[in-house]
Amino acid sequence: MGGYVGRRLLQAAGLLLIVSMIGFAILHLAPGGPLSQFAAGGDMTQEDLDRLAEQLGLNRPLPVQYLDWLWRMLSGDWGLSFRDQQPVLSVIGSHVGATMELMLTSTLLAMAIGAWVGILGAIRRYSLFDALATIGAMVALSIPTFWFGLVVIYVFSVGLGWLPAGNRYTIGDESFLDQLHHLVGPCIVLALVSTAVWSRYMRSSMLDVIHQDYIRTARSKGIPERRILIHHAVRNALLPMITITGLHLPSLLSGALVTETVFTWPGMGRLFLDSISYRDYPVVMGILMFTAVLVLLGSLLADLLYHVADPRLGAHGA
Amino acid sequence: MSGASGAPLGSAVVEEARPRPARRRDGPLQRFMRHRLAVFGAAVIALLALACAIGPLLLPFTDTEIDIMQRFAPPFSGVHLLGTDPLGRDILARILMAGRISLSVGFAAMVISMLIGITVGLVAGYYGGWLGTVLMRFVDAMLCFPSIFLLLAVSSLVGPAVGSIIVLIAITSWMEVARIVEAQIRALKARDFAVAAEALGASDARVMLRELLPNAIAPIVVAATLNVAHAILAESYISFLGYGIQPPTPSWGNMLDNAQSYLTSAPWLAIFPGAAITLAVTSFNVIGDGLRDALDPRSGGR
Amino acid sequence: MERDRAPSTAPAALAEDEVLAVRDLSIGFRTGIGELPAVRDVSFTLRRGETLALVGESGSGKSVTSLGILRLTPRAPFCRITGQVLLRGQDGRVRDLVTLPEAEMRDVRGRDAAMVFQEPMTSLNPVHRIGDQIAEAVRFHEGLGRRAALDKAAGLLELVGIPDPRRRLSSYPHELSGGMRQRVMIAIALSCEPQLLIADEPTTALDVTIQAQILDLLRRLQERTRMAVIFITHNLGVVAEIADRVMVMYAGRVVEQAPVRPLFGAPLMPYTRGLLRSVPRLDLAGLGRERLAAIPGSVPDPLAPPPGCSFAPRCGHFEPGRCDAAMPPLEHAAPEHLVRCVRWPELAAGTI
Repeated sequence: MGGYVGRRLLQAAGLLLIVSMIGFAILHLAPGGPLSQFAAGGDMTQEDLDRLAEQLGLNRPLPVQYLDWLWRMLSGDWGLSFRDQQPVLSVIGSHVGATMELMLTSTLLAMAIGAWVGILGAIRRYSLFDALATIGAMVALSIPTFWFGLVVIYVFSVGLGWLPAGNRYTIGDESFLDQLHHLVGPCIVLALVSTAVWSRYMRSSMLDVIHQDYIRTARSKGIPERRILIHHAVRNALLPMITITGLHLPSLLSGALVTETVFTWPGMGRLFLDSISYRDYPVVMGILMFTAVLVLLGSLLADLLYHVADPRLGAHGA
Repeated sequence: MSGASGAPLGSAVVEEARPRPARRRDGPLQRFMRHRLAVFGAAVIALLALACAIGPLLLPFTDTEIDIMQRFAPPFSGVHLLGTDPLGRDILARILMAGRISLSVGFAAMVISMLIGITVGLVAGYYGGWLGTVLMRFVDAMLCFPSIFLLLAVSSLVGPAVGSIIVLIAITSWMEVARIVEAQIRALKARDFAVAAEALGASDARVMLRELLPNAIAPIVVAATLNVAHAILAESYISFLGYGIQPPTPSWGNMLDNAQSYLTSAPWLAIFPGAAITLAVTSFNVIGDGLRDALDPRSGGR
Repeated sequence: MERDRAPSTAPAALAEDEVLAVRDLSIGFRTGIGELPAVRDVSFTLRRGETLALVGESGSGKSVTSLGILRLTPRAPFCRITGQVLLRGQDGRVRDLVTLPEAEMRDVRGRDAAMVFQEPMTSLNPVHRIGDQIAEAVRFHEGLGRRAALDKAAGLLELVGIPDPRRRLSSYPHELSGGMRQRVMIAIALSCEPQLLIADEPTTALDVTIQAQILDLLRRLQERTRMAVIFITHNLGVVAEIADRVMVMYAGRVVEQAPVRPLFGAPLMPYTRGLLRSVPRLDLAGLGRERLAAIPGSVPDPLAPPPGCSFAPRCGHFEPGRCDAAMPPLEHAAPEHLVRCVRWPELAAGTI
């Protein structure tokens, strides 16, 4: 186990280095590099720009700049937001909670429904339910998240008046119930794609498992079908889902950005878009790097969890 | 039932005579046709493409024609079949013109991303070693960036134009293809014919393009189909968020850009373009799924 | 499962010392192109303490027969079982397993009749500890608590010859060798002291030395518990070692059934003779390199069987007009010797 964790951590560190290089490259991609926002403003002369470049060390060789940038990133100095002069990390920090809340609740919802649909689809393979679930998942994977958000708002907020059309809470009423009420809409919208992903992979994982010899062994022991299903089949079928959930993280983050925009949810995605429109590049770059690191850590966590959950892979000795 | 070890029935042990479904004898086309959903998807795409190509010529309105007397006309009520937008422009005409843009962007982005993905995959899979490792780690790193974040960040830096949108979508969606091709090439390279071709003195490029690539064509075709679906979705996302195709050029995504503000008064502004995206993307997805079943019998209905 | 015939009114038709009676058992699978008969009209009985070997090539129906007895074949619309399978349970009651409701069938499995499968590497659940896997059947059939069941599991592990059984309870299957895993499978099968053990090629996947150990273990356990055993194999060397009687199957039908000695000494069905000739014989090993005779051809397509005897197209004694006229009946060549071949009298007399 120890050897594996060490190896995997080392791998993640290497990946982080490449990720940081890509981030740095994007920063220098814009015409005018990191100064483009000043140049675009038009109220600075070329002389001003040159002086600023000198101050910021932008006339040094790129590798030196990169190392300097990387060192500052690693030491937590992600620069200041142009908009309010706050440190980028603390700006991100004040928005990350809302995004996590949304991602976590929608993932739990997607797991609950998706696993159930997938299991049922596998044990009643080729039934009407299975066919409908397959088509449903296909459509769910194809609906643009923002459009589904609009539909949910139109039906449940505009039409039925059941749900608020946006925001995280009513101003003046910040009770738990009120927050929960606001969470329902965006949670459902973000969960749609994940539910489809879970149901599809759970179905195929279950199909793999229920044809395994050990399920036949369990049946030959005469234990109830329900217990065979849950204790023997689902327990095994869930293992690969750990990996799937890790792999799905980038697409979940993308979905969160769009969902937050539609529901004016004050999370990281919304902050990202706002920062783009304010040309607040330190925050834009900060969030971009932050999400990439989040994905990296997420897949690392998924791999480690898998190793803990599967007795064949070490954590239990031998 | 068949055992390989022990003292068996000698050569009397014959191949397992377990019944196989008769469909095994069918070719890829039959299996594809059997996947009726996929055929349905292909028909929808053909119809949609045809409508977008010739539809605007048949309509009495163009997509930019402003009819100030007919603002917010509801659908199915007058001369404007799907209603009009806040400027009185015909929604149907705009959807068809937007379809030209969105489908072309999706297709063009797919072509470019396939070119990048196949090249990287070929080189990494064929040469392997140090170069292959670096390339594939780069693929891994690119996949760490959530695609919408990457798209928005870069498009806000380089500025929106149809051409740059296409390139941007392509450079954020070639990684899966590279992985697929790399794995295929690596597996194929170990097999005899590549070794034989090399021994005969064929150039690297020749071995890659003439011997290896054609044998990896099935997963590439599937990936290409799914890639179109992905590209159409990606375009709609960034256009909806205002950093994609810019008005007045219509795209399915930017038609939805301010539809949210009229959700109460004119919901059709949101419904039709969204339905068009969903229809197109679903169709490409089911075609890809059907192709996967047809080209890879092993996946058998999973 | 289908109720094609009315539930037998007198299922108690088992002789005093008989554990199992299979009568006219037929099993068919539904496929896209019609029903595929995998097993047809199989009948046999099994006494307490007796071992019956089921022999045949892959696809002969021997595994399907064994799965069908415990109804572990696919469910009703996909698989049709007809005939009678009378089993005497631990409680002395005789049940017809073909018509038994699923809930009662579950009580029979593992308690009255248990199975050991061919692949020890894949037959144990990889994510559960072997102690729990053994204890599971005990807990359900005997209503023991977890601790008591685990105690019993430790005893069973000791019984099947696994050293340090207490510690092994908390091992996972991947931590054991193939032979050890098969011992665990046997411990699971024996956990509720079944009347009948069905072993479906239990040694095929194992090394030769391990095979001998497992066979030895099964024999010792059988002497101890007096259970009846159905031993499925295509290894005739194993048959000679362990079986009392042998049943040879071909294309879903029984073609010859006899006690071991007459079957090995004077096989009557040409197919059985072919099988015996294709076995390398240790006692002749020093006498020069005699070529093993292979049976030419392959098992017929079950959906398009040849006319008459299924074996006719591959048979060296094929006689046009007789062998391809009709399916030969299963006849008594001796009181305990059944054979399905129109030419058996000539074969017995040695005239051909």
